[in-house]
Amino acid sequence: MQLGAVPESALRAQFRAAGVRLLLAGLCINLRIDVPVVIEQILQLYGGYPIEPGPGTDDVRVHLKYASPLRRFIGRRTLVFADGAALYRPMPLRHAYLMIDSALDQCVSANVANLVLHAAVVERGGLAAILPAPSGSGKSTICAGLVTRGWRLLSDELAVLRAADGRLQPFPLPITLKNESIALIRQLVPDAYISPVFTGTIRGDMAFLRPPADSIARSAETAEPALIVSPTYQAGAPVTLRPLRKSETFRLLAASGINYYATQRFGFDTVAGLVDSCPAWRLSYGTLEQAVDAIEALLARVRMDPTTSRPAITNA
Amino acid sequence: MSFVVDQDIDSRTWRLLEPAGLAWRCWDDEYIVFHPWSGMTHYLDAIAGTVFELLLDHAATVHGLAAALANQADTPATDSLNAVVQQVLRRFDEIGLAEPIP
Amino acid sequence: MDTPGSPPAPPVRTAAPAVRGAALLVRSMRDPASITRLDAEALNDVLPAAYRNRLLARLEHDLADLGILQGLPEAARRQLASARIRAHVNAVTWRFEIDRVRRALAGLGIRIALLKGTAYLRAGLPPARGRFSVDVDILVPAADIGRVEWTLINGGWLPAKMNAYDQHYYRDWMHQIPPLTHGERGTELDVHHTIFPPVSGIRIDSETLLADATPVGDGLWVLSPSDMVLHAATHLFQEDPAGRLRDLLDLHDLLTLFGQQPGFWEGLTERAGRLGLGRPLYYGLRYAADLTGTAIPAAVLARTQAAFAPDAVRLRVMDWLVRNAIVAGTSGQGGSGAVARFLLFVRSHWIKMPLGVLLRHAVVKSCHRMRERNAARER
Repeated sequence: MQLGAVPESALRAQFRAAGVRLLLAGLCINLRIDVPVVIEQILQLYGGYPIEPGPGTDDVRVHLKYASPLRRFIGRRTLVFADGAALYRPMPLRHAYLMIDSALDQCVSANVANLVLHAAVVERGGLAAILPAPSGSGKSTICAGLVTRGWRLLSDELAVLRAADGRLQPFPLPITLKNESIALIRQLVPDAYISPVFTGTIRGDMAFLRPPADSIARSAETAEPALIVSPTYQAGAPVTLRPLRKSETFRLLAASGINYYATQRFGFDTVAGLVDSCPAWRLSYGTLEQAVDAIEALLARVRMDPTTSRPAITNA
Repeated sequence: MSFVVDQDIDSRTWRLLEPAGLAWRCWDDEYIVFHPWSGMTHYLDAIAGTVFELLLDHAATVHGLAAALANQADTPATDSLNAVVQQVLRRFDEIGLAEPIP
Repeated sequence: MDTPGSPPAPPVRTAAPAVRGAALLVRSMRDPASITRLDAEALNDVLPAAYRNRLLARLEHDLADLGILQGLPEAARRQLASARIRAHVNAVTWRFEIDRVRRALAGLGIRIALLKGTAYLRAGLPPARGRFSVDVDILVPAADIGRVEWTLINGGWLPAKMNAYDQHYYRDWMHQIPPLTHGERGTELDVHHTIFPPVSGIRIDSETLLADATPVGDGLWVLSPSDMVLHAATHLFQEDPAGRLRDLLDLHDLLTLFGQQPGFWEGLTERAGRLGLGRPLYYGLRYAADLTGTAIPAAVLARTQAAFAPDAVRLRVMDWLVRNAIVAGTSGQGGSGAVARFLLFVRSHWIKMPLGVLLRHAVVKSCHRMRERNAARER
């Protein structure tokens, strides 16, 4: 059932009482929010997300509350807890939603049965592209750009490789946009819903793009990894694509691993498997359009080889 | 031709430490080794990787390994090769991948 | 902004679930099978409590042994499976670390005993199951402490950066050199030369403990069963015992295992008397029996009570302090638990240091903290 199918007044009450049970990344995350303005933000962004309407056992319980009874009224600060442990220092009320976004990322990374990489993941035609890159590389923006061209969003932040079958688990949270990207994406897709801008964060201005309904509706549908593209932004530079050697690719993926060490042999085997089966490139780009064009062109060259059941790159 | 100062070169026999469950790949002459005993993943260059593969087969001394390496590369074993192999083994000792047999 | 017309939120109910979770946790650790009779809400209380107290993996281990994991809801199984993996990785990490320490000190020809978590791990004792260690603790002869420190620093461990006062605190008042951190692996190593700080007046030289130690192979040792029990009991009640449900369970495990060895109880009581650790032993036995249901022969309890128990009034106070602190500490909540925890904490430091020294220590520490806070604010 979708969150938006529940009447808003009932949802508001539920967020503040027992919490709303979101189904994300194969987990049941109980989200409880005491702060009304954040509830409103969630209602805007998460209407299409699946929830579990009845009670049950949760994987983790996230609770956003005021830092203290006094902090509700004076110098308003909020805290977010996961399973009773505070995750971050108190943040000002106007940035409270950001803590939820980070907390949800952490909940998914905490399950060490799966290998989690710091990477965006998008899919088209049954083939998924993994974009490993650190914060500030623009991978979320590229993700948004691809999604506006009809690619399915699996995640703008975390690639989750399942223990069960090594396929990619979707985790399609609202896409993070920063600074100039906000205006850029708004221009590209004027009809898409973008949250109000959060100003003055440590990363500058931030806003969130609601993913297409289709991406959210298919959030239980896993995908096969087919190519790896690591983007780096270089203002004004021409677009360049350099194929990565396999050993370089391994290093890149292991370094982007959030829980690589914890997954031990599974992590090693999974990364080695990705290296063996997925062609990989480093993409240097100066504009969003260049990046999106380049990745679309790469995917067009990838075919599933029927004899090996693995992606194979053909010449353009 | 330079001198080989034999007392500088370790004469002990070296073996891999806890090799059960070792997993590795070799791509472009770089070896990536997962060692379950330490839980760590190591990146080895061509020489270190070859030493690793030789030790997988059987325990060996510095001289033995250098000779095998030289043989593979079809070059004579030099004292600088001995020194390099010794350095590799010392590093293996530090990371718990190999040890001198007492 | 909060819209002016919105109704006030119902009162925040964080205290209740956490305390409920703590009580359920204590019961679940005594009787893991009882988990299967819990409804979804109760599981939502007890599983986070177990996670916070680092007992989730131990619970998983016990449930797996009983073969009752599959009957639990999916989300519970996922949490337990994840905890199992993390505990396994932790064990791999620390087993390797123990080996590296062994290798570094092998050439010194001295007897080194592992203590606490890494001792249980290396010796394959029941407290090791599902355990999350955070450092290696070793006991070395006091006479060799200098050589050991030098060898470790030469072998890649870095001394902690600390001021002269803290150095003095560790070396002269506590029972260890300041903690070492490995330069490459970042792991912590604590080197002790006695298990009770010299300042407090109770002197147990490392030679006494090492002479009775049990070998575990590769030149490593662990304390004898009696000494291991005494160390666990002393560690539990003479340092900050709040939230130490895990430590109490370790004591329970050790007593249950060793209690089956002929002559163990007599040896334990006699050793406690000789080392002057009768009081902590008595408390350990009493609260293990009370809170974790450890089977201790009645005669043993009676004998230790007669020999080592405090007066009835003090005993009642300790009962209240410990019961409140263990349960409340488990829940992480305030209230009477917080008071109990604070009092026990003060008491534990008082045992270690004479009052005058303790006061001076508290003043100096608080000045340091203030200075650090001011410096941080200025940055």
